Amino acid sequence: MRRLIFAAACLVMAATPFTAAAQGTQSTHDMEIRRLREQMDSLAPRLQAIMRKDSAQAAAKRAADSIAQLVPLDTVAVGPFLLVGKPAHVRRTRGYFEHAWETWQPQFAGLDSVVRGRVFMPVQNADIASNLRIMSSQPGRAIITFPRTPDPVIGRNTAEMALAQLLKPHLAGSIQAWSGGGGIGLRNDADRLIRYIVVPVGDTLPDARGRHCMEGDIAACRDVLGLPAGKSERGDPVRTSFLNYVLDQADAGAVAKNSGGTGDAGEELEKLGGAPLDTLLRGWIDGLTAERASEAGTAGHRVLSTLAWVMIFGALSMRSTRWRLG
Amino acid sequence: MSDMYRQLLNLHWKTVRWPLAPVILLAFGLPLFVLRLADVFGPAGTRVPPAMVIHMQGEWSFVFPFLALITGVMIALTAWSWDHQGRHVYALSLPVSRGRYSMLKFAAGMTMLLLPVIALAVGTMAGLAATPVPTGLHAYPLSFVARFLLAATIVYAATFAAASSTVRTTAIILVLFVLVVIFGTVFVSFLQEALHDHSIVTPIELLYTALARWPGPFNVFGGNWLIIDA
Repeated sequence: MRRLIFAAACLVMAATPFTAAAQGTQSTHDMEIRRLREQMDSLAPRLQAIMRKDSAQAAAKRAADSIAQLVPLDTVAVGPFLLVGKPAHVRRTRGYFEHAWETWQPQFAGLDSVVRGRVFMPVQNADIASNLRIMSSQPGRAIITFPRTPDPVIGRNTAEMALAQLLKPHLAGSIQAWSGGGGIGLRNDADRLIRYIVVPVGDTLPDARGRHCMEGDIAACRDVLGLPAGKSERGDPVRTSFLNYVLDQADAGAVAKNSGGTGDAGEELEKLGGAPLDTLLRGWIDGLTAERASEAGTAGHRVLSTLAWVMIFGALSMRSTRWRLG
Repeated sequence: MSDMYRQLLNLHWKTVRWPLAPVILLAFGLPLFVLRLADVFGPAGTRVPPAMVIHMQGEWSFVFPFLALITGVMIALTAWSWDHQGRHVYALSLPVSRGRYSMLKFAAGMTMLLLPVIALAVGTMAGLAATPVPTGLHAYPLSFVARFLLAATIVYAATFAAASSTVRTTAIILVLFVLVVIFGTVFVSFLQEALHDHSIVTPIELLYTALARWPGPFNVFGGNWLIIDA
């Protein structure tokens, strides 16, 4: 027992200097933080005064210049485009742009002057991007904010949307008015989109028409989409989805050919997609309904392929080296 | 039902019953939990908005493919565990061919697989009975349960085939897998950097496309796993 008490006392004595040192380090650390905070607080009014004197544009230009001086930039050609940015960032975004260009190339056929030599600056920081955007008044330059996450899906979508936005001003005027301010370019959202049509979100879409549309009533689909001659201020994901579908069906060069079209949105979409509006609507709806929970896992072809694989694995397990005794 | 099948079923049941018990409980409870979420967290006293019902399910629907995976792997591994432990002496003493023995064992495992599927079906129906389906949406209990059955079955079949082979064969498959997927992906990344060509597909991307996209064996796992949907 005496030994035990002695050992405990030794331990406490040994630990004391460490604890004191840690406390000392902690208090030094706190003082340093306090000092830095005070320094920052004193700088804030000075910075505000400078910003009041400068115009926003001049400040943005200065910010962009300082970024350009600080960060060495790299230039990479992707198709007809140039990517300009930090080397590591450009290397990463290059793959996304190559994928996006592969997808959108047919739509840009005949619009060479729109895309050739266009510069994209992929920027990670949203503040820097907005500053650069203010000063990028030159035509042919686009600043894109790429999120920090290295998620390839987000990267590809961002690049695709950037190219799609280039295409949008070259669609017929009535299609632009019909689709409104919504972006085009995202194609992998069918399973979410179907719910925008059927499920009332706020009071944007009456669900009865949406339901009828999903059940194959093409007249209801025309209503939901505001076709043939609807207009939209803000755009909505449903119209965007249909426009993407029509662009997918369009032949190479169809956008350039119908660029100056003067018909209503329905007629122009027919010309663009190269099929009657009802056929386009039917194809679009079929694509969407295939993503419903009722179809997603138990569609006939999926069931058959799964059963075939079960049989293959079952057959493999029947033949094994385990029992070959000889 | 042959005596041998019954015997194998009995043996499998003895091996798997305790590990399977929590899986059966989860299979019953999870659909109930997921379906009740929107009601519990939704605005009190008013109808739960349809978008919220879908959103709440969507947040948790990843648990079902995961449960199907665990179920399939567990039943397949326990199907062969006593053979491996007894160095296949019992199986060799039986007057049947290897093929027939494996087939009976496979069938016994499939029967065992029905237990969590039935529990899932009961849990889903109970959840739907307690949750009003909002206007504009539909409940897809049969499709959901059928999908779980397919997903668990394919995992079971693949693991059963892998577990039926010798440790040496399994080790060779694993080593090859590691070499191709991990080292292959690293090598392709270097190649992409060296050639400045990001269009070269990595083995992991190839594998994903081959296995998880139709007609790959695990394509049934893709898409949404909602019970109530548009």
